[in-house]
Order: sequence, then structure tokens, then C-alpha cells
Amino acid sequence: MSSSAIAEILKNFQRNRSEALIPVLQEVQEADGYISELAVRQISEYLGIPSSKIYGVATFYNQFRFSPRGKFHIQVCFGTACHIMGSSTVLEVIERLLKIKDGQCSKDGLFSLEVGTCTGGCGQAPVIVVNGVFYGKVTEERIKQIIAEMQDEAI
Amino acid sequence: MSISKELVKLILQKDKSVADNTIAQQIAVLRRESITKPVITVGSGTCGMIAGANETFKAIEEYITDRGIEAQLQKVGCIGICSMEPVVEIHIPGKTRLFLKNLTEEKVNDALDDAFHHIVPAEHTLMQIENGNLSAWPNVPNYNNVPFFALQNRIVLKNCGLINPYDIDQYLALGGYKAFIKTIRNYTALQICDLVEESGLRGRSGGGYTTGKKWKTALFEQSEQKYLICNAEESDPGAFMDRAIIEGDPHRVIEGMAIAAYAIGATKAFVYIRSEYTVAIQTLDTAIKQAKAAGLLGQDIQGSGFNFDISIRKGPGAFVCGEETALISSIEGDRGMPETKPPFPAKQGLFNKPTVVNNVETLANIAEIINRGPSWFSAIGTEKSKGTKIFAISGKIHHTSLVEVAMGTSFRQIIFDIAGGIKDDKHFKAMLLGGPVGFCLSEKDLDLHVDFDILRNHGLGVGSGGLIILDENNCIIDTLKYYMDFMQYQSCGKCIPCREGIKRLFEILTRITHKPLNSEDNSTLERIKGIIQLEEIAQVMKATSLCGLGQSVVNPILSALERFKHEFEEHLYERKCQAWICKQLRTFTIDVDACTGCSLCARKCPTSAIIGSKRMPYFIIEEKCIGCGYCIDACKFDAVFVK
Amino acid sequence: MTFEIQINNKPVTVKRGETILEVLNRIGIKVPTLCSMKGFAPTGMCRMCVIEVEGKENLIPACSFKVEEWMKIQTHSPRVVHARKTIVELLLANHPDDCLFCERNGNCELQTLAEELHVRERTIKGEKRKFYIDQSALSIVYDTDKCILCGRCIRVCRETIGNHTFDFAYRGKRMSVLPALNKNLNHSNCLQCGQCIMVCPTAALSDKVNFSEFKVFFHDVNKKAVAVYSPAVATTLAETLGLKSKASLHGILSAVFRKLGFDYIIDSSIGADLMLQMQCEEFISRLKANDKFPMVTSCCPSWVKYFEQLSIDNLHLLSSQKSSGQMAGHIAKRYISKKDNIAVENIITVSIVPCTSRKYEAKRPEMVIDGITDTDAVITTRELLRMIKMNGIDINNIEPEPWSGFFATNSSAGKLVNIAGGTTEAFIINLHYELTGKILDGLKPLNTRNLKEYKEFSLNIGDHLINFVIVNGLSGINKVIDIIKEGKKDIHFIEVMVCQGGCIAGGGQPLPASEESLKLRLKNIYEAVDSAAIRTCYENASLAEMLREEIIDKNNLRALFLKKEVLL
Ligand SMILES: Cc1cc2nc3c(=O)[nH]c(=O)nc-3n(C[C@H](O)[C@H](O)[C@H](O)COP(=O)(O)O)c2cc1C
Ligand code: SF4
Ligand code: SF4
Ligand code: SF4
Ligand code: SF4
Ligand code: SF4
Ligand code: SF4
Ligand code: SF4
Ligand code: SF4
Ligand code: FES
Ligand code: FES
Ligand code: FES
Repeated sequence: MSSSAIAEILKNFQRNRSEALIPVLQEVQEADGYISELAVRQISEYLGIPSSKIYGVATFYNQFRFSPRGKFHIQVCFGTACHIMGSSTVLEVIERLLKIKDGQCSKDGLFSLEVGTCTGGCGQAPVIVVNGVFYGKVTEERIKQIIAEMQDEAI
Repeated sequence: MSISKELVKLILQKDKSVADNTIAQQIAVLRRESITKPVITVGSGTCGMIAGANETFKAIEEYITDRGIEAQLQKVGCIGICSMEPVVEIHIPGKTRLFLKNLTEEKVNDALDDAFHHIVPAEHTLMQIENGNLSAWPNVPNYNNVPFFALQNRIVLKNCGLINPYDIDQYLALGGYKAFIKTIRNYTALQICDLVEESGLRGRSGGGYTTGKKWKTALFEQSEQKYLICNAEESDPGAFMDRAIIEGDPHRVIEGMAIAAYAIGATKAFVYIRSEYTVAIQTLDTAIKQAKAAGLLGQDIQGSGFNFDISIRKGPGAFVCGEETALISSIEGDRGMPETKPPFPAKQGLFNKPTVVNNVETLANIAEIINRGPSWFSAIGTEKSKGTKIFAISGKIHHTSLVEVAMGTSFRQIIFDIAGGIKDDKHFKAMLLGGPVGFCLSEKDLDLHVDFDILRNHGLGVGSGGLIILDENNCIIDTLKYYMDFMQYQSCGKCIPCREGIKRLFEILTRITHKPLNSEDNSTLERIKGIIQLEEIAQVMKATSLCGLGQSVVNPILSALERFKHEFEEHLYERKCQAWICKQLRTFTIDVDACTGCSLCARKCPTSAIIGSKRMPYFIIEEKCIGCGYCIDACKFDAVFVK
Repeated sequence: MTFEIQINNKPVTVKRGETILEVLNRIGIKVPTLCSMKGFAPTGMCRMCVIEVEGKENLIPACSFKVEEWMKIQTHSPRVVHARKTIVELLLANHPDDCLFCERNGNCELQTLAEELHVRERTIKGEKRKFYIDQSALSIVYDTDKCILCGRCIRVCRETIGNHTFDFAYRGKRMSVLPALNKNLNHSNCLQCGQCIMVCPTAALSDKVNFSEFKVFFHDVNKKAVAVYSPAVATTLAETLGLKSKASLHGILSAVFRKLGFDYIIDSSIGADLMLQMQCEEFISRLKANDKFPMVTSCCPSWVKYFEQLSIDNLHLLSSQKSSGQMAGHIAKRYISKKDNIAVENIITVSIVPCTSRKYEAKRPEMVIDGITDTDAVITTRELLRMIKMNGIDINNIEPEPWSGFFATNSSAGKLVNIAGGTTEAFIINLHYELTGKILDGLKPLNTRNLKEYKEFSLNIGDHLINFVIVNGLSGINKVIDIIKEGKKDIHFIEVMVCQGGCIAGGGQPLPASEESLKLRLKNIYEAVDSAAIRTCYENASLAEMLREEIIDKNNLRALFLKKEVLL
């Protein structure tokens, strides 16, 4: 993401207002998929917040990442309802199929995997979310199918 | 065209008759009293969506365009039976509202064919809402004859799944915002606080603090600026009440907020909502915009001189941000680390100004209290717990669902009579009430009643409303272990007992769910010591942690130790997990007679625990086996078995 | 307003607004603390100070609660002591078992707590955090494993130094104290001032140990080792080791340094005198040209680094001399080489200072001239103390030894520059002398000697009205930045010292730091300054002689300031 694109986002916020930090980070990540060093520098300058603090705030929350994510970002819900309904097996299956672990991105940049918390769809547990699309009551077969669809889409 | 302004005018008007005929007609449609063309709605809350509501919606859209049917198609929130999603309502002029269940996309055509030919799509029948004037569908149970609904007392959820959350007119037509307008025109702030206090409403986030009292504290603070925060973080994974309320009836929450703000003298409010709740955020955002456009938010609302504005803050994800001081830090742009109380937020909160933090469900009760009076409200419930409570029930339950019951209802009624009992005819084992900072209850507790004080006297609490049901295939130790594993990353890390303690509790639980390794670390003595320590550390954490998280995260363990002692002992002494969940405790063996020596299992075993030579029976070395179970799956001759 | 509460079943009169901890400290009851720091708002992080209050189900931290009328407090009930002990045990369960090999062995707050609470068994076991040791910076070492996440370093760096190098990152099990983007300290905006070391309860933060580096030279007959020590070190040493005799510190220090293996001993005041002289010259030439104002001191390397990191193009405002310490090293090499006919490359200068930042400064590129470093090693007061211990030197019983003879005289400036405001005081005296030929008598009305964080004042010197600003610690630095950014030329001289109080409170001083010892040092130094025979560098005969002999080239004494790219 270019410096001017970041500036474009910052323009909508008041300067030197620390309470804007989280909304700014959310918008930058929304646009870029992650928070780059450039973004940290620019946000720090604009909002008057030290970079160490930006890093501290961002790493506190689940949402923010400092490395790019894959084309398909898979989140496996690890909420209680999903755990009870077998989400650890779901994670195992995905890790096995994609050969990546929680927090990693596959070498081809196609998939990244993250353990997430409850999406509120507990009634349909276990739940996974791929690029914002929810899948409920997933089974090993269904996961294989979803991944295959994505691999096809990528080609 | 929205007629919200007209509807607001109507509230302000003494004479409630509607002069303009077209408006009167529109109102009748909004209220569904008399419609001119079919109305079809699809339950599109998050779980409906996961169950395929979007696809169903598209299929219906296609269906009606293809056939040139002039019908109104709407998305609504969820009615609360997740296990029956997608839920679709078909309302044909002259007939009652008919609700269909499990209507996935491929079923749409047949079902709609039937319905438009006035045939009940039997396979999908859920219920109808009978109405004297309209002709009823044959053999379809009425709303209040379905046990799931009959035993509930829906105040907060009244409109959920029944009205279009994206249309303020529907809410207004059903009497919405009347309470708010009444408030700003006829009452002083103190009167509203008194009213709410009198009603006996207590915070629905679990603590049970009297809402009116909290408001008064803030009202009596002198400050040029005060804030209201609606806590929609809903951090307990497995709870989804707040999400469903917002998705289904956002204006009820907005109206509650507006009244609360008026009562404490706040002009600015934030809704702190977890960013995972994308549907709810979108619904709420639309609703706020509509309320503004209708002149129900903003400057000098309806000429009352009251200014009020709501902003949405998306919580970037941290369990602890449900705690009010952490939530406030988060809105301020900081790490969500709780602060010592006092000072309480009501005196010194957001940006150091008096701030009231209320839960979504608490706020969603307000309008109805103002409309129907405090004594109406306090007649519901028990002596000291008034009104209703919503539970989000999931896990091994027949109807994963959202239910609202009067305080004083027993858990047995909720689980067995309303939610249909345990799934697949299994046995009830335990219920997790209030998530990782809640309690682990057993069969004995089923007859307890939902009541802040009764539960507190039992050393328990109502919790947030998350209710997860376990059956005999779940393991208590594993569940506690899961909680500690989850929570060791959710503790904010600020104070030592919580940050360091949870880790150790997790490790102790891990140790007793593992095989005896030959290291000292895993000797029985160590494990017994561990159990003693479990309680000791837990008590220190409870006594010394800074915030409710550290103080309560031990609740599931302490309550389970009391109730499921035998299960701890079984894991500890017999190294056995009845439920077979603790994989490490499973012992795998190969039946010498059945094994053909094909070696498939040996090739699959991740730890090379299986040895043998081809065409001879293979053998599992117990010490090496980690209980993964791959060998069972691999064997084509059912030679591997587990005990 | 006062009222009475009960503490350990006895009535105690307390003031409204006092914290429970303050009351307990006042009446002689000790409860352990880890996260609280005098002068900082309590955070209630560590829970070590918990006490029992009747009517409260949970224990509450004494540091974060104010006294209230109804309170009946138990400070050492079995429940409380058990809780504190468990908390320490929980910390230890996640701490490297490294005491015997640890920088803070014997001087560690965690160790002391374990001892005081009688922890005698490893009851709680489990996985320990294992990260890394950040050795990248030249002055500061950060051993992440030993960090107990008390947050003290973060607060000192942010609230006192005003720099915000560290912050908490992640949460729960993963929480750690990290610089921006988890880059190592060398890439961070750390000023190397060492103030965080001064407050760290454990060995998580320590200074880079350099004394072993040069010890080899002591055994090399061809190399000659020179101790260039700061007068602030001398007073601190006397105070810390409890020097009883009033005998000349010089004599005792000579004996100490000789015993340690040094061949020459030099007081760095010679550098201070030269630095001031050049500073006055430069100031006067700026006055004449009426350009490059304000002149900003450059003698604190941490401040210089701070300035270089700011992305503003005003580095030319810094006064262009090297610091007095570096000058002293530079002079010592040339002078000794000439006088005793030793090749410069065989002379090893070891700077002994209260400052960690000098370790970093000594490695700046301009400190190497023709392949010869001005200072070969920098050791802090702490390191010197350790060497003294290792070598079994008992300073109360050693014979004082004669001085090395070089640079026997110096003005009071060498002592003044160690105190915040002191550089300005010395500068004023010298400038006054240079411009009027007279020695200025008494500066007290100017208040250079109070420790305010920011002060501005004006003074007529000769025909000039000169406006001064003194910044003590960086909390007042934003005003200075504004002055510089706005290009305010009517402020003429700005002194900045990063450590609050100046170098006597430097990051290399003995641990733990205390207000009392700071006061004592101030008193001792001002006494010495006020009784000094020579007050201006122009009267310093040693300096005059050296300059006459043209042994050094002043061009080699200029600093080089360059913009630095770091994550701010
Ligand atoms: C660890 C922790 C998590 C909490 N999470 C939530 C939450 O998710 N939602 C909520 O409304 N309140 C939560 N609370 C309670 C809030 O701190 C606060 O008391 C509540 O929002 C007040 O609302 P009420 O008075 O309407 O119940 C939590 C408290 C603690 C200690
Ligand atoms: S109890 Fe836990 S969550 Fe609460 S402040 Fe302490 S560490 Fe943070
Ligand atoms: S259960 Fe897993 S580890 Fe054990 S023998 Fe079978 S394959 Fe190997
Ligand atoms: S897979 Fe079954 S039959 Fe084949 S070696 Fe293993 S146990 Fe024997
Ligand atoms: S920091 Fe303290 S407790 Fe830790 S190893 Fe060093 S001396 Fe021991
Ligand atoms: S104190 Fe204990 S551990 Fe330390 S050296 Fe002595 S015996 Fe060893
Ligand atoms: S050395 Fe100074 S600047 Fe660096 S982290 Fe420590 S206190 Fe901050
Ligand atoms: S480095 Fe030291 S001062 Fe900083 S948080 Fe860790 S233990 Fe505390
Ligand atoms: S004030 Fe002195 S001790 Fe502190 S960093 Fe500057 S030069 Fe070093
Ligand atoms: S627990 Fe997985 S969606 Fe709620
Ligand atoms: S159907 Fe929406 S809550 Fe379950
Ligand atoms: S000293 Fe009181 S909590 Fe740390």
C-alpha cells in the first residue's frame, strides 16, 4: 500500500488524536490486509503516537497482523461451542491439508490460517470463515471440498 | 419511500387516527395486518446465513422474478431456532403468516409452489401466527402452541425474526420509539432513573447490578460531558444473544440507548461491538442512519433540546475487552487492559468522564419498561430478579437456539422443555453457564432457577447467557483444559496471578490428561500434587487478581471440582477418560487373530509405535503411542481396537 | 483532613487522599512491592502489595487504594502472606534459574522477595518463557527471559525520559515488553541512557559489560592503560563504598586505579575545560554573525541521539564540540604519547563514567581519528565497583598514592557538567570571563541549581542580553523542539540533559537509585564546586600549557552530527 493511500485513510481522522488509532489500523488493514512498517511510521507521525505504542496496541488484539495474508484467509473458530463440536479436528484437518499452521501463510501465498474466536454462529458449530464467508457444521469432507474449490478458483 | 417522519409525527400527535388513507394502508402493511401482495422473509442472522440463508434468498428471488410474482422479499433477523435455519416466512394476502424451517436453496421451488397453491409444505412446517381476521393454514401449529415458543416470555426478542431490521418504519409502526419520545417530552432524567430502578431491572451481563442505581450515580456526577457505552463485545465464545438482538431488532437497542443517555445526561454514546459480528455491525449502522434521518437521533431531537449521537466502535478482538474498564481503554485507543476500580466508570470513565456501560440486553429492556410501566415489569420474574433473561444454547442440544425466559425458570425447563433436550438421545452430562468465566454445572443443578441471588447463594452466577450443553461424549477435564488454554491467551497479562496462574492451571490439567511418561514430571504423585495445587492457585487468583477475568476464570474449575470429582479421580488414578476425548489416555491394541499383517497401520503411525513384519500380526508399543487413532482408521480388517 | 483507621488491630491516624501503601510506609510496616514507583501513579499490576480489608471478599493492593474511614486492615495475616508467596512462586515458575550467573545476583528485587517470603521449594513448575537476549545495542542489554513484566522501564522511559522505546506487546501468555515492531534495540529509538536499568527490579535490563575487554592490555607490557575518570564517579564511589577518611579522593583513586592495573590516571575535567572554552569561542562567533541560534548543548550523547532521530533539519544548531569525556580521551592519548614518548596506538584510554550512553558515544564514527579511537572502552560506575570487589580492594585501608602528574589543575567546570544546569552555570561563568574579563560571583539568583524540568531565564553578560533554557530530563523537551522548529532566534543557549538530575543520576550509577543518594551527590559536588580554587577554564594552567604546546588539533575535536533513521 502506497504512502499516499495511507494518507488518504488518515485524512478522515483528526491529527494527534490517540483514540483514532484502532479505527485507523482497522481501515489500513482492511485495505492492505496487514499493517506494514510504512503504515506504522505514517500513523505514528500523523496521530502523534510512538511506534512502540502502536505495536503494543495492535498486538494486543486478535485482528491485526504485521505480515501479509494469503489470497484465501481461513479462520477456524475456537470458541467453546465449536470446541465442543470438534473444532480441534477441523484445525488438524486444515493444517494437514494445507501444510501450514496457525498464523502461517502457505508458500505460494494462497492460504493463510488463523485460529479465531467466536463468530456468533455457535448454533452452526463448528464454524470456519474464509475471506469473510462463513461455513457452518463443517466436516472433513466439506473442508476438502472448500479447499479444492479455492484451489480451482486460483488457477 | 420511508414514511418514518410521518410515523414519528403520529406518535407526537394527540389524536392517533390517521387521516391520510395511503399512509393508513402502509401502516397496516408494516404491521402485517393487511397486505396487498405476498411478503416473504428469510431469517438472515449470522447463523441463518451460515445455514445457507443467502442462497435461499437468491433462490426465492429467482423464483419470484421467473414467475413474475409481485412479492416483497425481505431479510429479517433470526427467530432463534438455529437448528431449523434457514427459516422462511411466507405471508400471502388473506392468509396467516406461515413459517417454514430448514428451507435450503434446493427446497425453495417445491415449497413455494406448494405455498402459492395454498398447500402446506409439510416437510418444512414450523408454525403460523394466527390472527382472527385471516384464514389459517390447516394442520400448522400456532406460534403459542409450539413448545419452543410457548414456554418463553419474549420481551426483548419480541420482534426478532418477525420484523425487518433494515426498515425503521416497521419498528415505528409497531409502537417503536414511543417510549423515547415520551421520555424526552414528559420525564426528567431523574424520573427515568427512578422508573428503571423501580422496575428492578438488573444488568444482564451477569453481574446483576441494579441498572437504575448505576444510572443515578452517573446522573449525579457533575460534568459537562458524559458518555453511554453499549457493551456489545459479547466476549464469551458460545454466547450470541447480543448479536441476535442487534441483528433482529436494532432499533430496540437504539431506543434503549437514547433513553439511557437522556437519563444520565449523556449526549454521546458508543456501541462497542466485536468486529467478527459483521452482519450485526451492518444492521446497526443502517439502523442508526435511519434513526438519524427520522429525526430520532442528532441535535435537538423532536424539539426537546436533547442532543444525542451514537458511534460504532468495532472491537478488534480481545476477550477482556468485555470488561468495562478494558473496553473504555480500547475506545480510547489503548491496549484493553482493565483498571483498578474505584474510580468506577460511572464516576470517571471514558476520557475520564462519567460513563455508564450497559449490556445490549439490558438496554433492550428499557423501552418496554417505559411503555408498560415498572410494575408491569416487576411482576415478571422472582422476588429480586425481575423480567426475563435470554440464553444462547448450543453444544449437544436438540435445538441450538436462543430463548428468552422469565427469571425463575429452571434450567431443566430451558434445556428439556424448550430446547428439546439432548441431541441424539444422549445423556445430559453438564452445562457450561457463562463461558470461561462462568460455571460448570451438573445434573444436580438442573432444578436451580435462573435468579441472581439464588445462584449466588450457591456460589454460582447467571453468567452472560451462554449455555453450552455437554453429553456423555464430552470430557469435563478436557473442557476445563480447553478453557484454560483459551484463557491463557485472553488474560490481558497485566497482573501476575492471572497471567501466570492460568498457564499453570492449564499445565496441571494437561498433565492429568496425559499418559504416564517416564519423567518425574508425570508421576502420579506429581499429578496428585497438581490437583491440590489447582485449587490453591485458583483461590489465590480469585483473591488477588485485578479484574473480573482473573477473579472468575477459576470458577469453571472450582465448580467442576465440586461436581465432577469422580471424573478427576478417574483421569488421575485410572488414567482413563470415559468419554475417550483425552486421546493420550487411550490404549490401542491389535487383535492378533484379526490382523493380517498388511502394515498399513504401521505406515500411518506418526510415532512409529507399531512394529511387526509383513504377513505377521503387528504390535503396538504402548509407551510410544500418543493415542492419535490413525491406526484404527487405517486398518481395513478392524484389527485395531481401543480401550 | 485526617481520620482514624485500624491497621493490624491498632488505630492509625491517616490523611484523606493517602494511599494505604503510603500510610504503611510511614508507620514502618513493610509490604513488598514490585510495580509501584515513587512519584508515578500506581498501576496495580504486580499484586505483591495485597492486604486484607475487613468486609472485602478479595485482597486489595495497598498501592492503588486510598484510605477510607471504614477500613480495618490486616497487612500480614496468614492469608495475605500465603497469597504474596504464591505470587512470587508463580513468577519464579516462569523465571530462568540463573541467579548464580546473573548480573543482579545479590542485588535483585525478585531474589530478595523470594528470600523474604521464605520460598524454599520449587512448588509450582511449568513451561518457562524462552525468548532471546537482545545484545544489539551498544549500551543496553535486554534479557527478555528475566523480564517479569512489571512495566517500570516503560514508564520511566515514557514519563521521565519522554522517549517511549518500550511498550507492552501482545497479551496474556504472550505478553512481553518490546520495542516498536519487535525490532532489536539497536534499530529502536532507544537513547541508551540506561534509566530503565535503574528501575528494573531484575536483570532483564542491564548495561553492556565492557571491563573484561581491556583487561588483556594490563598484561601487555607494550600497552599503557589510562583511566580517564569523571569526578561524578569519584563522589559516587566514596559514597557507595562508605569512604570514612576525608583524605584526598585523588590519592585514594590513584591507588585504586593503579591496583586495577592502570598506568595513568586522568581526571576528565581537563576535557570539560577544553570543551567549555571551545563552546564559548563558538558562541561568541555565532553572536558576532548573529546566526545559528539557539546553540544547543551536545555533551549528552543520549540527547544528541534524540536530536539526530527527530526528522528536523537543524543539526547545525548543536554546539559542535565533542563531549568532554571524548575530548579527555583524545587529549590523554596525544599528551601522554608526546610526554612519555609512547606510540599513540599503544595507549589505551578507558573512560570511567556514570553514564551508559557513553559506551555508545565512544563508538560513533567521529571518535576515530586516523585510526586511533579517542576512547577504547567505557565502563560505568557499577562496573568499576565490580572490578574493585573482584580485585579485593578495601578503599578504607589502602594507602593513598601520588597523582599521575598530568593535568594536575582543573576548574570547577568538570564537576559542574555532571549536574543538570551545571553546564549552563559553567558556560555562563566562562562566557562572562571571556566577554568581560571578570569572574562572575555567585549564580544563585539564576536558579541554575534547582532541578526543574524546564526553565527559562535571561542574563546580561557584557553588552549582551542572553536568554537561556535548561531542560532537565526530556519531559520538557517539546518546548525546546517548538523553539527549534519555529526558528526562535531570541533564545541563545539551550542545555539538555537526558537523565533527570544530570549525570550524577546517570544510568551507570550503583543500584538501586534513591532520592537520598542523589541529594547527597548534589551536595558533595556543589560543595566541591563552591570551594574550588579555579572557576574558569581560562585560568586552568594545565589546559593553557597543553594548548600552548600545540599537541592537539582542534579540528579533531569537532563532532559530526548525522540524521538517524529509526522507528520513532
Ligand atoms: C472478563 C469480563 C468479561 C466481560 N464481558 C462482557 C461482555 O462480553 N459483555 C457485556 O455486556 N459485559 C461484559 N462484562 C461485564 C462488563 O464489565 C460490565 O459490567 C457490563 O457491560 C455492564 O452492563 P450491565 O450492567 O448492563 O450488565 C465482562 C466483565 C468481565 C470481568
Ligand atoms: S485479572 Fe487478568 S485480565 Fe484482569 S487485569 Fe489481571 S491479568 Fe488482566
Ligand atoms: S494411536 Fe496413533 S500413535 Fe498410537 S499406535 Fe495408533 S497410529 Fe500410532
Ligand atoms: S492395518 Fe490392521 S491388519 Fe494391517 S497390520 Fe495394522 S492392524 Fe494388522
Ligand atoms: S534476575 Fe534476579 S531472580 Fe532472576 S536470575 Fe537474576 S538474580 Fe536471579
Ligand atoms: S544460596 Fe543456595 S543455591 Fe545459592 S550458592 Fe548457596 S547453596 Fe547454592
Ligand atoms: S536506555 Fe533510556 S531511552 Fe533506552 S529504553 Fe532505557 S530509558 Fe528508554
Ligand atoms: S524489563 Fe525490567 S523493568 Fe522492564 S518490565 Fe521487565 S522486569 Fe520490569
Ligand atoms: S545526562 Fe549524563 S548520564 Fe545521562 S545520558 Fe546524558 S550524559 Fe549520560
Ligand atoms: S463458538 Fe464458534 S461460532 Fe461461537
Ligand atoms: S438462528 Fe440466529 S441465533 Fe440461531
Ligand atoms: S506494588 Fe501494588 S500492585 Fe504492584
